[in-house]
Amino acid sequence: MSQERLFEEDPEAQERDALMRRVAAFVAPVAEDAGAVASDAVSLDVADAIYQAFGDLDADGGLTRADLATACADVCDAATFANRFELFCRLGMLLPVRDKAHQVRHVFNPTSAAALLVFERLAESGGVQEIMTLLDRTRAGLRSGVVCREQVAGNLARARRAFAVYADHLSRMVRVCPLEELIAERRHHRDTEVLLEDARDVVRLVAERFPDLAAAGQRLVGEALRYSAVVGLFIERLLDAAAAQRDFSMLDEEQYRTAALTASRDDLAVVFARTVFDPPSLWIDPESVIDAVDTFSPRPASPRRPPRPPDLPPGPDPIDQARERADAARRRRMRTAEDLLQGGDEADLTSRVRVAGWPAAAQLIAALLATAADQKLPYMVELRNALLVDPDAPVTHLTPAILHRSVPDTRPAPETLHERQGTRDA
Amino acid sequence: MREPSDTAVALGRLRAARVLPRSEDPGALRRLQAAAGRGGRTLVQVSHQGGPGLVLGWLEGSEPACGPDTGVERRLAPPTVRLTLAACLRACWPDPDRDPFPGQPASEGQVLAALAALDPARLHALGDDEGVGGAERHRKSALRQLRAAGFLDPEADQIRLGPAVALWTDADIGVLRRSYGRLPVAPEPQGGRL
Repeated sequence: MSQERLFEEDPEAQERDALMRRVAAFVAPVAEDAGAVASDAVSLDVADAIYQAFGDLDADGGLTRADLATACADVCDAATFANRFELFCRLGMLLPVRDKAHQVRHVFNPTSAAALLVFERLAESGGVQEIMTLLDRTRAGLRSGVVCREQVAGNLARARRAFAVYADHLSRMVRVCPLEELIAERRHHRDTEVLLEDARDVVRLVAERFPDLAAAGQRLVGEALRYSAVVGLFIERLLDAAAAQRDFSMLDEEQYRTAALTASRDDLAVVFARTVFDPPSLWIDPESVIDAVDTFSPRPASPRRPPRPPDLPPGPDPIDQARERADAARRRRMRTAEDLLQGGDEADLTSRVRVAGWPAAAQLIAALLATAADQKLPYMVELRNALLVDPDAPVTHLTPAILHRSVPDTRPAPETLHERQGTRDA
Repeated sequence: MREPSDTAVALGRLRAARVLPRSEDPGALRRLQAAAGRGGRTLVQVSHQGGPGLVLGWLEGSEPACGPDTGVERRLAPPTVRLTLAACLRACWPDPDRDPFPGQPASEGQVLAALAALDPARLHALGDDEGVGGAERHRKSALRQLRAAGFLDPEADQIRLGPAVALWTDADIGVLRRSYGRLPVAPEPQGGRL
């Protein structure tokens, strides 16, 4: 946050101060001295909290002082509440209801409720709303025929004076007030066109109903026009300041939106008449140029080495272990075959298989078939087509099997990865 | 309304015109450089209309980042325009060991021939295959866009690299150098041999 911002006043606090100044001006006609109105808006907050308590709580029969103190706990401290409570009682905003000797309840004075509503309108529209209300009331009375000539004449005069007072007030502000005060004031003068139209409408009705008041009506329209012209000057000064400071917050979002929708292209262009724009451009960087070239001609694939194998874990080589296991199995099969052959070249295994029982018979046949399938071993198993059936034997169904010693297969065995590696290493 | 200073106007003119002849007043040049620096910009000297010129570049780290969360969007040129610039770079930048800018002039025919020699099947993927006439129309349109955007000199009759190329950094040029051999180039004329 910049140093200037640090020392800026809180905008909300500024607004509340402005409201209290407006309230002071509002009660000035009946004030006894300059201190008649509290300078701190907390008094208004306490009154508002009390009013809300009567509206929101079950206040049938009134509220006690303690009820009100609780309702105001978030707004002020106990001492301030006590001070304001006594004052509100003395001025008749809170009216006592004695239903028990030791307990006093209070009700809210409707006149004070009206005053709070007026203060709220003062905060929102600075009092201009009152002119609109007066014109509306007059118009409704003229249309329904319930107002007399004197009432209409009085309302026309009051509305004219109000327009005159606001026109002079704004005119003074445009001349002497700093920009910050003008900005704070601007939202009170947004309905100028509506006000002017209302005034014209009322004057038209007056001319029809009371032709002799037409001149008074014209004076009212004259003041309304003067007020409208001063509001124009006021807005012009605001816009000049906004343009000079490039402050786009001077107007409401809705006003910008309206301008965007309704203003001509030339009028909108004026806003940026002194703004420098970059010429239209394309975004191209070398990466995107090469991307386009790639789309046309893909990059040649770079030769890649196969990934380096991970280092072997410590301990015996698992491939060596596998080879040793395979050698041991082959030796076991060879010993079994030689036991069966008993030094000969051929052995009938049928009776051996028969007496081996189950499952040893199946294990023996499986081992012999694996031995015959091993190309490095010189054995062959012949299985005959006959089927021997003996329901009482340990193996009931049996095919005759003969083990032969064969000529060893001299064809080279399929090369294993381990053997290939070993050859290269050698 | 307060009138802008001469320096502010000069900076605005430079921004709007993209490239302007360099001022001969050293004081004005110093003030312009200072004003540009306050906005995160810097003055880059280029050759312009036969003399020294200036363009606005970005101070390192000041260029707004683009992306969905930054509020800055950049309109990437279509592939045909980028491919056309690739052919212009190859034609105007004969020696990749030197900087591409200002390079040397090349003829429009040289650039168009380089693009015409590209594989039609792959050009189809780029949407640049509307027949011979259509393709050439696209490529000439791409040249116009490159001139308007400052990648080619808008004043030159021939193809000359523009001030936008002069703003590329050494790292940018390095990217082009690595792929220099793949930039589109016009085929050598087929000469008969006796």
